[in-house]
Amino acid sequence: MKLVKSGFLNGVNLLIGALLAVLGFGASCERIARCEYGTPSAKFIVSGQVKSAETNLPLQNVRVVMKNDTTYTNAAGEYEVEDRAGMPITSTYTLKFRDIREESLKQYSDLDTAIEFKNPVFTGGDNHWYKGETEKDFDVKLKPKR
Amino acid sequence: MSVLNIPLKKRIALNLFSRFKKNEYKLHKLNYIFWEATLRCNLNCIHCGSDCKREAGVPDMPVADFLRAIDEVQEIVSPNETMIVFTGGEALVRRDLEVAGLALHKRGFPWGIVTNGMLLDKKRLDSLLGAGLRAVTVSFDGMEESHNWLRGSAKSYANALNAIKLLPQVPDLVYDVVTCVNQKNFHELNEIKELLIACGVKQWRLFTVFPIGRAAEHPELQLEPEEFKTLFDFLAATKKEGRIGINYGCEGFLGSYEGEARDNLFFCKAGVNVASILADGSISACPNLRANFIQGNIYRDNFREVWESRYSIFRDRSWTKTGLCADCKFFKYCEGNGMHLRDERTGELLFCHLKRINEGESALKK
Repeated sequence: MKLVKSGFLNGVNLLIGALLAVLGFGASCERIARCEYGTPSAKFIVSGQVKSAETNLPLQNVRVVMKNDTTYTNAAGEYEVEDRAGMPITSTYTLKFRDIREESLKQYSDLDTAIEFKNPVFTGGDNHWYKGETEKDFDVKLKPKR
Repeated sequence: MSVLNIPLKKRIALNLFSRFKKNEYKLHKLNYIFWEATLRCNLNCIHCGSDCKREAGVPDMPVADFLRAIDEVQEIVSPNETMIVFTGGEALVRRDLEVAGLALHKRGFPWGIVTNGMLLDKKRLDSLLGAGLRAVTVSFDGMEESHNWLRGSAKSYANALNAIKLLPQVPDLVYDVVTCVNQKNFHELNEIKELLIACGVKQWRLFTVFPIGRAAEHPELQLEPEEFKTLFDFLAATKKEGRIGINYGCEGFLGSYEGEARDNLFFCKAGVNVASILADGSISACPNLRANFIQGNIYRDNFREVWESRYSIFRDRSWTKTGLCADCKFFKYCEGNGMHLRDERTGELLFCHLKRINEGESALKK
């Protein structure tokens, strides 16, 4: 009920805003005047390969998580994760590797590790808030579960 | 045309806007939060509205305490549409602003600072930008002598001007310059305007001293009625000229100057969309609303619960219809003027813009 009421009031205010714009007073109804400006941002990409520490063979379907991005290794054990909204400064990310494959397959231990982008160099920025992207290769070897 | 004679088109707009405000009171959407990061200050301004001192009696709030309060409201706000502004005292005396700023950025909040510019050099600006700074307001209160007089420091003008000159160099940074107009700098307004335009400044905000804080002890800082009225002519003319964006602050209903001296029609959003966390943890509306306007304290209360269950004096302003406001035919549009212009203890109106402009008109006619 509260949501319906809020929706109605918001709708009425949108209409009033439109009418005021016609009258030349549109700026009055800006909900957050001059606040959404953009922000310094950069894309941090980590890619690599996941292999078995025992056999040195690539491991497929290992879950890799970095901040809000989740992916799974392909048949070659390769993965790529990214943070699209990072800060363009020295940054450290935690990478989580989880073996979620079928239990009939040999199981590997979890791995949490940190990767640091120290004084990163960015390419492809837009000369405004977005500074571009930077990439690191990071191969890991998972140990079998005992 | 008198300030009391509002043209029909503007009256229609004000009536519509009055309905808009009523809806906003009901919606009560938090989208602007001030954090009084410190009461310490590196200047000793005559007009200061806060209780700041060089060595404040109230210690700086730990960043973790502030962030805990922000986390409490995170579920009821849209972080990307909620601005957080660090103020003071002088916010930049804190060396850990970047820590707080970066933490806000990671939560999705845009943030900005209000500063006197004393500590805003290139190195600090870069450091703040690296932590996600999006907006800057620099105080600039006149040409050298006037500014230094008001700010109580021989170096303050040069430092503020240096800070202002840095800002246009940062692509997409939103910033403005704010000037407290008083009797000393009133005759310099054109000179200040030209200086700011030459520096590349795009937005200039003017306000007048109101009788709170240290300014209450210096009534001479207030403009005489004729000057006050002339100030609005200056604002309207500069806006029309279009060489620099100019706005009067959000502090008063301006009658026929509504829409002429400000981009938007008058709306005191204190407690409607705006909340503050003061240095001692008090939860208020605007940072200069203290005493009886305090709604809670982050060290005792949950910020979200306070926002959702209190703030009634800001959302229903019928209590302000007393004294001068009781018989005012513009009350519907004004609703008691800015909340910071009501006495913190009695609620009485301390200053009416409309009345002062009207007095100025009468004085000029004579």
